Amino acid sequence: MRGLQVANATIRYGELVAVDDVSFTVAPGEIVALLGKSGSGKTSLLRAVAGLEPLADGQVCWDGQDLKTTPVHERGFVVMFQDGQLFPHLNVAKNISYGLSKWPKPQRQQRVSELLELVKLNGHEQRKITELSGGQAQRVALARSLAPKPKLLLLDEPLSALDRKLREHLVAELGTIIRATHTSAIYVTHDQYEAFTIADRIAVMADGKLLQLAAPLELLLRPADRAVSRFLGQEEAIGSS
Amino acid sequence: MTSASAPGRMAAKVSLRTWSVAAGVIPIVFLATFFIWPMLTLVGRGFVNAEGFTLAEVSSVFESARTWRILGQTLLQASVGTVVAVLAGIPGAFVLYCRSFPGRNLVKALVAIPFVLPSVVVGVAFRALINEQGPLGFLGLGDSFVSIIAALVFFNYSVVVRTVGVLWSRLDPRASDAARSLGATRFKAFITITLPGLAPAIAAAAALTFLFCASAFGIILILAPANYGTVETEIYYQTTQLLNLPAAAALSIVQLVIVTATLIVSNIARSRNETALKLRSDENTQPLRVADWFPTTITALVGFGLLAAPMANLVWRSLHTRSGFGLGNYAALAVVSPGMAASVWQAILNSLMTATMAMGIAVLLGIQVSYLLSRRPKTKSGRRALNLLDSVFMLPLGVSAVTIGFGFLITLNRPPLDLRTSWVLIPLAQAMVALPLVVRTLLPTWRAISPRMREAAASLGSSPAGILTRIDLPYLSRGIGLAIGFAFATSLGEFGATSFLARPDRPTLPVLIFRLISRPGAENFGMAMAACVVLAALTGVIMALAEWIGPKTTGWV
Repeated sequence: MRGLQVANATIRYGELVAVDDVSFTVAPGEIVALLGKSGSGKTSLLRAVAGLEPLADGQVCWDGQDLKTTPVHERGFVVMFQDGQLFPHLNVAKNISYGLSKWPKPQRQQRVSELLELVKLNGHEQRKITELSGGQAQRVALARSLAPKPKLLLLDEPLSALDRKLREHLVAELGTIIRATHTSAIYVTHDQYEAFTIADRIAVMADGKLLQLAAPLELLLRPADRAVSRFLGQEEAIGSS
Repeated sequence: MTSASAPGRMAAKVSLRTWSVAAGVIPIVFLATFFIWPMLTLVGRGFVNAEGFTLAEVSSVFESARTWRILGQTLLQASVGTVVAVLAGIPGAFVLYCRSFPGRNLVKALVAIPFVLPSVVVGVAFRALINEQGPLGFLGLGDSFVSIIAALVFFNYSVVVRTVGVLWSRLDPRASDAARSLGATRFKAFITITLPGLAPAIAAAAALTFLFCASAFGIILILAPANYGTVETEIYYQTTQLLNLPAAAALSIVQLVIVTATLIVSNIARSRNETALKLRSDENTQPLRVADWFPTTITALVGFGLLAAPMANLVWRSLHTRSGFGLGNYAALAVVSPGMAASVWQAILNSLMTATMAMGIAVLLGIQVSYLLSRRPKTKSGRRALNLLDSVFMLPLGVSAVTIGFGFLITLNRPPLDLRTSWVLIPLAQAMVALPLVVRTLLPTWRAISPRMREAAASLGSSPAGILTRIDLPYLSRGIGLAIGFAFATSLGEFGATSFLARPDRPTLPVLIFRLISRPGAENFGMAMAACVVLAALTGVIMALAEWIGPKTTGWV
């Protein structure tokens, strides 16, 4: 079995069950959105896939192989955080090449300019991180995440810190760029617009449970239950039928 | 992206754990050996007499009126010093941190210097200003309470300016703008909006200043009038002059209580302060305006009158000899004067050597301790343990340096650790005194690295060791300059502990200066002034360099 398989994942913080028996898969090249309100467990689930959060129960597998003993830095899954977490002591080029330390230097430089072109920031190699606008910073963060050709890209509310207009513009661009690189991705968001724009399939989460996992159109037409349709704000339209 | 073999992974995990454990254990062992053990031994002596354990000796200390007078003088001196320093420092914080003008960074660097000046230098400088030959001699202040307070404020002004200024520059000015637009005067907006916002920083600065004022030693020894004493000088007097260990032990306990109470207050203030700092990460400065005349005038008065004048006068008077204006006092520095074991130049060499060693020890330990204290444990008990550790490592800041010095003498004088005759004792004691400053300087740097940033680096393929070398250490290099400067300057000027430990034939410069001024004669005082100028210049250059290299906004929190 190729790609990511998450089986019966459960995460506990003391008494609280943050993620409750969730299973799903991400096929090679596929973008899956985890959609839910804050506190629904979507970010915890993403962190568990990255290896940043231990599972109380269940498995995270890649190509059928359990990753339980594989530490974060050896998984090849890159996390892109909401606030980018660019390294302020490094310039744009050095941020992007951070994950390329094992590459020979000429290839590294070429990869950096390739990615800057991809995110439309050509020629910004030497810029300081502190001089970037919010949108530019997230483009650099995306370039940095894609540079080492990750097996899986994990995006944690990557656009939430930006204003609405920029967000709507960037989410489409983000999708185009990720697809152009044939990278598998999990996209965590609380914003339906973003989820429906970028994802091949959407997983709706509430209270740590996975309510439904389906393609966007199917989700709209055939919500699994009231909870999903309520979440999608379509209760009136669908509830009466 | 290849996956490494299982043993490789284990090795990475083990080495990180080893590092973390070492980071905790080495400084704790060091602190236990060179601080807690000597201190407990000294205190313990107070409870033992020929018949064994007894409270009689200690309780007799508390029955004496002298003890209560000394305690009262200590608290009064610390309270007055703190209030004056805070009142003088607030306008300075505004002018130097919220307003921009040409040369601001230079002024900031200059203002930071008094804090690290050796206490003997400050004592001599103020004495040269107010004694009968001095320009302020006509005031008849001589050795008085006023001159002590002036010297204490001189010392602690920059603590207030820095701590309050860093927070002030990050307060959102729109809150006070809103108050103004609702009809508040500038003064009312300041009192009702800005001041409450600054409260955590003011409280933290006041607590720290209080500690420094309560435990001042060199200044009191040089400037105090007859019959005046503080807990710190009394410990010195009781141990060295009367060999009355029970009294010293009782006073050490009193001091420990004062320090602990102040640290608790400071800790509470600091945790509130750090939450407040999250509000804004960029500085907010505007050009200096005519409307800022009031704080600007105060700052200029304090800057020239209190900070610059004593130092300028010290330099000026050091150029006067009995035979007239000239460099005679400086020429005398090369000569071993009668009754002295070493020349001033030899003492400078001794000082530089011990201070370099002390700096090395303090910075190495400080890096480990601050790294440990910057961790954010997930469990409640973990956080509590870390808070306790935080306070323990601050203790040497308020506990008498005299206690440290004397404790060394009576503990490290027999196996398993017999260092009695070793000059290593001096750098060890100086490192203990400098350690809290190093830790406080480095902590904000470590804390600036968010856990998310480390996670991002890990997900990009960095092993724990890789994160340490590629994220943590480059970050640390920003704060390390200032830490090195503080450690070096503090060790260079350390007097309390060193006065106990320096061998007569190998004095450090502050010890030699104190010997010079303890002897009568204008020549001796002239030489002391010249030596003070040299010591101040050394310290000033070191600090100015450190301030210039280091980040501009490290707060004293």
